[in-house]
Amino acid sequence: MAVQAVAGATPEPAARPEAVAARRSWFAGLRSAKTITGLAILGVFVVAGAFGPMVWRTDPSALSDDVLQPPSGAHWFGTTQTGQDIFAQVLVGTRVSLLVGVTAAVMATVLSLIVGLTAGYVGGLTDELLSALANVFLVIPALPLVVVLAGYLPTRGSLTVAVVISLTGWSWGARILRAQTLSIRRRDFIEAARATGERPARILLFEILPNEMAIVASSFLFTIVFAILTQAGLAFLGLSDVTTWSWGGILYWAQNNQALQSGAWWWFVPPGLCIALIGTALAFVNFGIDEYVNPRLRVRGFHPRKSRRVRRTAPKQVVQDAGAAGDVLLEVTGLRVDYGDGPNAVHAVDGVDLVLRRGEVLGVAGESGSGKSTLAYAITRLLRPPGQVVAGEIRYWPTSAGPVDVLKMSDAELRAFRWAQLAIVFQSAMNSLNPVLRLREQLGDALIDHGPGMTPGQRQKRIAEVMTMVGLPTDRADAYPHELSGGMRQRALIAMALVLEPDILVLDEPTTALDVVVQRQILTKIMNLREQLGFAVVFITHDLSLLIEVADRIAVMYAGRIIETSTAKQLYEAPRHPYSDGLLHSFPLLHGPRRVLTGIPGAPPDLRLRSAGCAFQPRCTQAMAACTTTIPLLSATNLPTEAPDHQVACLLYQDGEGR
Amino acid sequence: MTTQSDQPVLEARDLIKHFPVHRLRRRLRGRAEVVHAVDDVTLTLRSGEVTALVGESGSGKSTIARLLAGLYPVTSGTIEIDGATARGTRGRHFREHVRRVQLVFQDPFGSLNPIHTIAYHLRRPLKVHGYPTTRAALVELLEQVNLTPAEQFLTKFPHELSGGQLQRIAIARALAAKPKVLLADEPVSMLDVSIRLGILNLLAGLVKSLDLAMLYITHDIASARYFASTTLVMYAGRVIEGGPSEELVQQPAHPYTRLLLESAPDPDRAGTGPDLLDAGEPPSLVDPPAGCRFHPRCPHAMDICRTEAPGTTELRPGHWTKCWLYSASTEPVPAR
Amino acid sequence: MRYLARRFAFYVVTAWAALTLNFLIPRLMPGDPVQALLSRFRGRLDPRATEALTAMFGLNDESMWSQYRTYLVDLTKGDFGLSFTFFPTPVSTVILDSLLWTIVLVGVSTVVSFAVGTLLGIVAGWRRGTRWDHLLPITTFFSSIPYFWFGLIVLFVLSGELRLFPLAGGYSSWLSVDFSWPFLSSAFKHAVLPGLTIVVASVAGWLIPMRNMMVTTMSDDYVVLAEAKGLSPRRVMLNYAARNAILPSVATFTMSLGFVVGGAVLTEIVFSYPGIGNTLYQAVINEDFPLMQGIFLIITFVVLLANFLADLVYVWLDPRTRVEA
Repeated sequence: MAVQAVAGATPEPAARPEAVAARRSWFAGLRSAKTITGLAILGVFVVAGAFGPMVWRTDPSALSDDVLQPPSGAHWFGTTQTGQDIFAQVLVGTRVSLLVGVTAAVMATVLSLIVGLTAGYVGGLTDELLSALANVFLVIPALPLVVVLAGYLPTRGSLTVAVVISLTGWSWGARILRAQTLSIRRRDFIEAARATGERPARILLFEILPNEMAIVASSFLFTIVFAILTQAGLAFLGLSDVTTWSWGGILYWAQNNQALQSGAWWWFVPPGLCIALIGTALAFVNFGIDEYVNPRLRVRGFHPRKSRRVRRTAPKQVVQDAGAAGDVLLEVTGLRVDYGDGPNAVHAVDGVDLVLRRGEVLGVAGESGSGKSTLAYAITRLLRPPGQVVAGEIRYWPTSAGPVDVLKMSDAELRAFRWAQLAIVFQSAMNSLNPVLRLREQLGDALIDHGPGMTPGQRQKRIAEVMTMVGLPTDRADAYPHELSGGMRQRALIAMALVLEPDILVLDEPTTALDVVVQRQILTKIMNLREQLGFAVVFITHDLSLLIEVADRIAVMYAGRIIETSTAKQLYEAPRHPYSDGLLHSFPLLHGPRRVLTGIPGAPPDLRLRSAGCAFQPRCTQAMAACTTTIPLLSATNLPTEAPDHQVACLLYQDGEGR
Repeated sequence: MTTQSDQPVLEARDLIKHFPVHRLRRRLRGRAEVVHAVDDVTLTLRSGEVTALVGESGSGKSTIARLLAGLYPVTSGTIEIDGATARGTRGRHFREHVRRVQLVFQDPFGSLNPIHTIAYHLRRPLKVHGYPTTRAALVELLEQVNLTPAEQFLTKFPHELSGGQLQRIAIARALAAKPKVLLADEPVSMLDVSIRLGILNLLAGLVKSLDLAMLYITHDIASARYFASTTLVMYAGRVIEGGPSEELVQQPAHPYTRLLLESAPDPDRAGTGPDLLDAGEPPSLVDPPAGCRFHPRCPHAMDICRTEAPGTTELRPGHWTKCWLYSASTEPVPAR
Repeated sequence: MRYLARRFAFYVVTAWAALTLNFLIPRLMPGDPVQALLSRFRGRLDPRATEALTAMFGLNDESMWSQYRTYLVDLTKGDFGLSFTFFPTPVSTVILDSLLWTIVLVGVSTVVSFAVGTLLGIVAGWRRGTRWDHLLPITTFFSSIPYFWFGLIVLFVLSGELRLFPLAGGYSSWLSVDFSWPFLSSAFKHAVLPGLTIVVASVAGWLIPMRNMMVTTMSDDYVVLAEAKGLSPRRVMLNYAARNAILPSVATFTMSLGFVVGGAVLTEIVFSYPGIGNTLYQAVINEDFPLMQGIFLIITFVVLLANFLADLVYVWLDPRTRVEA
């Protein structure tokens, strides 16, 4: 494929590695053991059907005196009651059954393409009628209908049977193609093609159809299996031309001649086995296609009950003796997270040190590829393979006892720690709520699993409490998520996070999906609650201007590292790192002179390309020679007037060379 | 409205767009429910000028872009280009229309077909509108959006490029038709902060060098101030205030515009900003509030606001609003 | 319950479509099959049967429209015509005799198969990447087997060779059909093998989609959040992942049921089970078209009813279908 060749030739910064992965999975899918097995079996049958009868020249209908012989050298699959060679029958049967299957599948697929594409693209009344038609054919059980149809056929040759089968087998494909067409039609690139001035027919054939090929293929293979099975069923009933040898035809004669009762297993076992094998083979190929269409099916080795712990611990790099200060709540040291294993592993978080103090708002700012979300997932131990923590410690300091390493907790300890001490609010409120459970259940289940001994009455009281706290009317407790507005859903999530009064609240872009006004309301609410309840907040966002308003301290991330950290005020007034400085000057302001802002040249980093020096160096206007060879470490600056807690990872502020 | 004497390139008058809800079933039940996506919107775009349309999601601003681009038929109202009324959303008239009005979409990852190369995406509009599709023409387009060396992009597929690069390709594709009007629907909101200005500055340059009339649709009023000379504010399907961007931001009139400005992130503000806990949420457009659509959330709502939609009041030359607070006098009521 | 009303209307339309198809097929097939049939049967059939057949297929110069009206009116009276295999028994009587056998056998097998397949699918999805993955190729193989062939094998091994189960029939022939213990236990013994065949052959049809949906659902945000809440793994698996993953399974019950019914009908033939499948076989062998068509209609109606039951379950499972707006 040309796509693969291009992708392999020049590694260019790609913002969406998963898109690349999806393309490459064509091959990954084909490389999987199941798909290869499937293709191999399929190949054997195709060769056997195409050339078998030419090589094994025994006439399948020829009678002989070797009656009901078990398999032998002369008759590999034995003989029938009239001495016919079963192997010869099966070879011809392979050809006939495959032909019927493929013919029916071709016709059914063409039919389903016409109906599915038209319904999905034209929409409106056409769609309603065509989908109703497809659904009617889907609901009417196929076999009895085929039986009636075949019963009235004047001739029952293979082609006619294939036509009859395709008439009942097109509706499933039409249904999924319609759904697919509808969803593609809503994609921007279709509207963009229209806006370009493209004609509808061209959009349908050149923009939509190529994007559906995987599903067409899958539906095609599925229909082959359906057709082969249906043909076998018809033949078994005697409703196809049983003088033409097909797998079903062989079974028909075996059944009618009491093969079972005479113990002639070799008569009915081979044809059925062939059907089962070819069905399995096609299903295996379809698994590969499924994994291509739905990449989530591809990830292996995932097992949520066994959240992986750190494999090896790097030497401790404690920046400062945080515990001594007494108000430290969470301390991250030397945290490294990789996606994948070995030399191709992507270092999404690459040696991060962070301290969260009691009751403070710590802002983590970064763009795509900065590792900020990975950091949130690592702290909460929600990373899923291929993501894994490869080094570092995450120490939590309870009020009374000494610190515990979150990464070393057992599953039970982790469950107890979660939500009670550390809660998280995700970006998309709609996706974070279970669509089929009432709010009350989703707010209450953490109370059941964490707070043994709480009476139902106490739980209801607590639920009402947190709802009031976030400004949700308590009568919404029995609502389902889809009955709430976007702002209310986000409030529900915050209420949920507060239900066990955690020490730490991790907010992963909590307001990005919301409108400016609602976003402001929610933020104000969170900050008021923090003052009231005293929890600490880790606020992760791409919006540095927002953080400057709400955070006490800010850590700016770039390419998996923290490149600057200081109080929000210092960062705003005197950003040191060229990246922080550039980011701060990327926001148009509401006040002050309207001057030309430049942003930062270049594109966000591609983590797959590891550089020997500072990751920001290619975009940096102040880069020096040393920047290409030295990775600067986060440390205090060499500026005499700088506050001691203002740390920067940039050679501009370091005396001599970084390590 | 402005003092400039040149003729407007695009004029939309009294645009209304209603989307039917569940067409067939509703019609059978004899109750035609509609989404009032756009109601009574009039706007003018001039060559070499950027007009910003600011509003929240669901306010109808993207629908306006699609109406102007000819992608949806209008329910009523007229769209004139160079004085000629645009007709039809299909066929020859439609292609005639899109040759002059082009649209850039919000999501650069979604607006390019993953199965086609960059060269294909640029070649198609050239071909459709009858321009030569030589390699030199493609290269020229790419150079117009500062993608150099252009040659290396032509054979690429969308997934191989970054968001910023893709958005430049999308702009190049829009330019291929050599339009007079460029509609940019939130062209930077899906991009990383650090590269947004690069795209905005590119668009600003194109407006000047190609003398384009541009409609910049955004939810970020600060970027409207930065980028556009004129700003219109939309709420629940209606444009409720318009004027020179700087004046509108510094002296907002409509209570919604003020709310929007108070809500916008502002690093210069101390603390968590104003207390907006009770500002509510936008209304449903299936059954919008009678009168002024902002009245359920408005701290200044009066009786008349609940029953009658306010007309346009000119506050200063070029700065107008639709609010009963201003209908009697042109003196702005001081912000609360 | 607008959703249910809509579904119900759809089933009414489908039933009508099936009726109309049934009416049109013999009349529109190429080569005038009915005439050919009549000439083939001449002399072999009771003259009254020939007459009934002539009337049924409208060979008596009535207009298509009035034939159609008569046809619909007759059907509402439960008149499916006369079977000529069992002449002069009406088709409806023949079908009713066998229908209950099939409904019990296929109904119970389908429920068992759905329950087992869904449960295994939940666990296989939850435990992805463990030994449970081996379930996939195995069940795929079983799902590709023709039901009737699998029945043959099972019968050959378990009844023929090991003599564990009866070889044929729905009950021991010396018993009378009543609700006595000997009859019921005999009927159960006879139903085990065909039932087992249907369950084994159809279980993968529920298992594989369920497993894939589990895997897909498990990376949904709400499942991740449930885990972040420190809920017990059982609650995360059942209330969050499985509770949502099962919805498509119930929604596509339609198609899967069609397959099961088709397969089950053929299975009955192998086991000489006194259900509707065997009756269909008799009808096919004897070219008993009224009976064949009656069976097609009855199976369709039963399947529609089963689908409506599945819709009720779906509405109960998914609150989003209950939106009134």
